[in-house]
Amino acid sequence: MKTNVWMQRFATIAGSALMGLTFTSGANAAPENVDVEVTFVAAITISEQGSLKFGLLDVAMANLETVIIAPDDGLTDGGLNVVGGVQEAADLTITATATTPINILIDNVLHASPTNYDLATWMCEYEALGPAACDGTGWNIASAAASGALRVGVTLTGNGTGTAGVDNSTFDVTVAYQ
Amino acid sequence: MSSLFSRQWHCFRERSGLASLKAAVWVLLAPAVAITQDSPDLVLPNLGSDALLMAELVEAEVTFVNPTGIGAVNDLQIGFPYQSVASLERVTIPPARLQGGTKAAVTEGPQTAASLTVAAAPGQPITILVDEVVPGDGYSLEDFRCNYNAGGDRSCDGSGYLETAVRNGTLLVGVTVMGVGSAARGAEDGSFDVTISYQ
Repeated sequence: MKTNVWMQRFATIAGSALMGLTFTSGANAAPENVDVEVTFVAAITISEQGSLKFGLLDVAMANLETVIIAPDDGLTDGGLNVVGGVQEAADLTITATATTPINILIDNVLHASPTNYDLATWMCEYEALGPAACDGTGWNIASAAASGALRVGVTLTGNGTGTAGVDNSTFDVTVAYQ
Repeated sequence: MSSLFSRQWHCFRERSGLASLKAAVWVLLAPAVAITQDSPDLVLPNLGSDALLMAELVEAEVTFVNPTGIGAVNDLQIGFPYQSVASLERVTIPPARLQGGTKAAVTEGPQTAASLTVAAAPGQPITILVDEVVPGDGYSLEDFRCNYNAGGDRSCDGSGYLETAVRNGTLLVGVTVMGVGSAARGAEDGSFDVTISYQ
């Protein structure tokens, strides 16, 4: 008899659990729709059309004197240090997916030896955009053209070393989707 | 597992009756499950290419040079032409300093090409140009010709001509003097500019 009472109580508990399992499954939340965002883009390409050209500079260029080549080839030469040659901004062609934000960055500036100068304050123009600073963290362009001309200018500052001869440098132009 | 439970449940139901099931209905008052989106949508990086960024090495071309220098060693000397030199009659002093043209038009005096010393960065292209020509009365100066570093005679007026610089080169300049038929007696010096510029 005592055993029967316990079995009845246990059956009540078991039944409660069973009913719970059955009926709570009917209180499901409404489905939540979640986006999976995917954008397919074309590969970025860069092709160099022309290097950055300072031409011939006076070997007597004084310390802290500057020669500036703007992205539009504009020349600023307050010290009259340009004595010949061609002065031109670097000219590159970029292809990317249109309207996709890109970043244009100038870095890894490497000087050959000897070095009579420093290069700083890099400026870029991309198609009709700019000029804008493109060193440091680069230049963010919200809506890139599918293909366009990138022109790069910079400020050359003499250090008074006064060594004659070819004194080229190199730099990296990196274009990345944001 | 489910078959074991089923057998036990069958045993309990037989022994305790269905009344125990009715007493358990109050357990159903559980809150409904809700789903909210706490984080932004799942965003995958741009796909479709392994060239999501591209870098290009570009050269900045810089060459330091000494500015060009130029110094006159001797002027261009025509000598003493006759006052009666006729219109279009010519006296030519070539860069090689040899007198040419109509000798009869020159009676005496030195006839030599101009000589200059040009300093420039070796190997650099330079332009040699004669302009700003100012003749004296009674003649004109035509057809300037230059010889740089013992090269060939080249026309160097107009837009000048291109040469490759040596460190210190000799530049000889000759010209043709052409009478205009109205010379007066006396000194009638002229002048011209010689410009050396890097390309």
